[in-house]
Amino acid sequence: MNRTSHTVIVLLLLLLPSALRAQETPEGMHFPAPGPVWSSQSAIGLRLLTVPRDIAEEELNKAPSIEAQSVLSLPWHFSVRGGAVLQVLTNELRLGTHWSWRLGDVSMSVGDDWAFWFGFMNLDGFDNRANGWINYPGVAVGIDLGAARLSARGEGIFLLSQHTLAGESEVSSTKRMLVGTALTLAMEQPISRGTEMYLGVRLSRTKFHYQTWFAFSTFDRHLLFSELLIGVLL
Amino acid sequence: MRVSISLLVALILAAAAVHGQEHATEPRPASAPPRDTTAALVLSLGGGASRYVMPHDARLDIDREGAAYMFRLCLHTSRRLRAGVESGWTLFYSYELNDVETSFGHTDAGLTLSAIPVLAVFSMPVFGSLTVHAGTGGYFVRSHATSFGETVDVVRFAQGWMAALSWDVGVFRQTRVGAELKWYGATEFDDGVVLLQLRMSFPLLTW
Amino acid sequence: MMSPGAPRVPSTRWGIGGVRWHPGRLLLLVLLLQLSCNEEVVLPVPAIDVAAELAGTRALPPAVLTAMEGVYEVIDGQALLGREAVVKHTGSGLSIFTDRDAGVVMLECGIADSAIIVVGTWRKLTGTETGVFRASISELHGAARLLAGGTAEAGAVTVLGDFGNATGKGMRPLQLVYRRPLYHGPRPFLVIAHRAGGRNSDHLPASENTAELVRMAERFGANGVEIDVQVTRDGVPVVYHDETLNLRLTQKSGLVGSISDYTLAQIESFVRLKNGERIPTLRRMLGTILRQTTLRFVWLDSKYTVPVALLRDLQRAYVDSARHFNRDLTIVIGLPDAEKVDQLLRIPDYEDATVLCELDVETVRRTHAEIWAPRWTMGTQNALVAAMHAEGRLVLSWTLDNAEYIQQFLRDGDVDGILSNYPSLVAYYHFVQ
Repeated sequence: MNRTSHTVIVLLLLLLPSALRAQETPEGMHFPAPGPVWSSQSAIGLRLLTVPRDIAEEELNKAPSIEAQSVLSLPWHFSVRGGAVLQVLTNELRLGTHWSWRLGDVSMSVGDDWAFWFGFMNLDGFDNRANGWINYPGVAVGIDLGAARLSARGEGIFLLSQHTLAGESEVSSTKRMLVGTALTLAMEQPISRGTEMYLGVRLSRTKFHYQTWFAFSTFDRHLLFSELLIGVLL
Repeated sequence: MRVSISLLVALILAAAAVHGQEHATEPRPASAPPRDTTAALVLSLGGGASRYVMPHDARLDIDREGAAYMFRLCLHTSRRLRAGVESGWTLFYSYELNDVETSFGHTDAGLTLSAIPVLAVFSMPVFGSLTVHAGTGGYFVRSHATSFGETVDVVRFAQGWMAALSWDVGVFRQTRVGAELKWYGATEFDDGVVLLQLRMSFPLLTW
Repeated sequence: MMSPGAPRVPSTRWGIGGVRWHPGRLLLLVLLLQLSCNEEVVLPVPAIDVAAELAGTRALPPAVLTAMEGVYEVIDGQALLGREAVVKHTGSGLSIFTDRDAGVVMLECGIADSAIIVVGTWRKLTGTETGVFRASISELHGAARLLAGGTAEAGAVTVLGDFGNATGKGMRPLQLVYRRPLYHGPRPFLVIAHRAGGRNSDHLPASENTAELVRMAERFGANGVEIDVQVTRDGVPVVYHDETLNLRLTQKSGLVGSISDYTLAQIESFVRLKNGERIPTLRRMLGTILRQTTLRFVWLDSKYTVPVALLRDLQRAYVDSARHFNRDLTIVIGLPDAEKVDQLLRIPDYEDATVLCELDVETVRRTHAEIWAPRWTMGTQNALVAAMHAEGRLVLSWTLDNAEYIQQFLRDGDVDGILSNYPSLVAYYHFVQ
């Protein structure tokens, strides 16, 4: 099965909950409020990563990806959230559990996401593959402004393992290491009856960003990675 | 580290589009096309002063103030959100160097950096005659440098953005005059100016 | 306001506490947040005056510096140097290489009261940490033996001292004991410093591709350098990496465009590199390498508009100069793409030029290149390396900075040298084999 088929299947699986969802849905993708039990919500969108100049140097420093995500509300204010950011060269599949509560217009959640990232680079002069695991524990807070919901989510970025291959040479490392933090600011609001969109910015201050694995960066310092998030709720 | 501001311009544009949708059914703003037309192609002309606002190396004593002019062609419809194109000219900065030491000897030198914006612009009235504008595209940045009595001109395109706030009043038929405060950012070269311009706008074509 | 779990109801108004909200306000907030996240890395300068600290000492003969070379066990100071450190005679003093964050200690030496004094600074090349280093070898701990012309033996030379941060505070003890000689292998190995010593993004004390940095390359562990050559509008080859005059490499000057848009006089009038240097001409760089270093390999990476024929002429002139000065110096012309290959093949006596080819092995054969330089990301490629060796060619890998892969290439591969931004790391893993 080729990678395009993989990508399509992953997207379909992620969007499946929205096809099966109950009449009532959770409040958005990013907003950390508990939703009706067994209700679900999906979204699809784009991410545009800006790579720091230290890594990109004079090369192209923008990396677009397709993003799909779903949330399924569980009893006792728990929810399961999954997502994929796909681009062939760099990809990430993410799944996590969150617990949320709501106080009036303000909602909060705590959660823990696990992500498997992988990538392929078989261009001229490159014969590389890579994969690894990342853990993203985080807290989120959101405010419901009526027609729009604003959310902020702070996460730690723990690089659990990393496995890279260059031709027949390979290097693996498994160590739990806090490599950085991320802050995601998102705004969700209707754009027409029945259609809602999200806009956001994710700022990661980290020593490692999986989307730049093929740079084999050796910098032992935090760099700022900025991502623009835009998409529609399904 | 620097983060591309152009990403955020896209955010602002999208937000403006959303906001435009919200207000689509609101009362017509003062600068909307006449009621017996459905659309107008409005030309805005402006001129004024510029000030270079980005950091620069202390070794160069740059002259940050200059002049700028602009023209903008914008499609006005019954929708609140308008789209168009903008160009013009602005000075970024200039400087003179005296008695510079080189391997060829000493020389006086001077440089002028200017730009011609080429921007897709989205505009939206927000309050009375107050209009916000946001644009994305870039700038043809021109170095005009002289040393050892020889002058060289080099032009390169830099990605960038703009954001502006304008206010105007009707003075004669559909002609309006006012002022515009604007930021031109050639982010790829880390250059940026703030402009204060007098402006005049009138419909070039209505239908 | 919506109650928990209520279905979405599109609305056209935002409001909380009587305040109208607007998407632009939020996004301006985000804009400010992003701008506030910009940060400039400041590299501290260690608070030490090496010349003043060595005032009154006698110069150490080069033979003694060479005798001190070896792999030392680190008893105290493992936080800085790891468990083993490589001590190497470089330039007028000593360097210590470690596998800890591509660390390097650059030391000047003197003799005082029959003891060997070493003073200098340390740097971790992968970050911005730096600090001071002071140590000595007392008469009883091996100085007498070394100064008498003897060689170091296991356990017979002990270095004692301390190291601290850039402000000279928080000093911690050091103890290094000589264990074994450096590994030199069956044939010479090239440790080549990328862009004359390293990238600007590693915040080195000098800009990349400068004479100032090339003078430090040996202290970083290199015995060769790679430099990037372009040509100005008036045909002068200069050393500069990027396609454009940009803020990665230069201070803001207002000159836009590329090197080939301007004459050298115009570039010298307006442009300063990140640390204030001028963009050097290739002649100046080669002159510095020839007269002020003992480097024995120079890789001229031909960039953009530089004609290969021009490099060929300079290569011949400086190889002749090296011969005149009795210097062991190889200068090779790097061919990174098909266009440069075509330019080479149009030179009538191209077979006589010493050439390094980054393309496939068939192109290496076609160009009569003495050196094949594949990108390291293709792996060790042992079969092809063996074929190149069988044809009498050398193989260099570029640009390899990752510590684990450097070890693998040295252990499992058979290349003749590695191009790296961290020559100290390559030197360390080579010498401890």
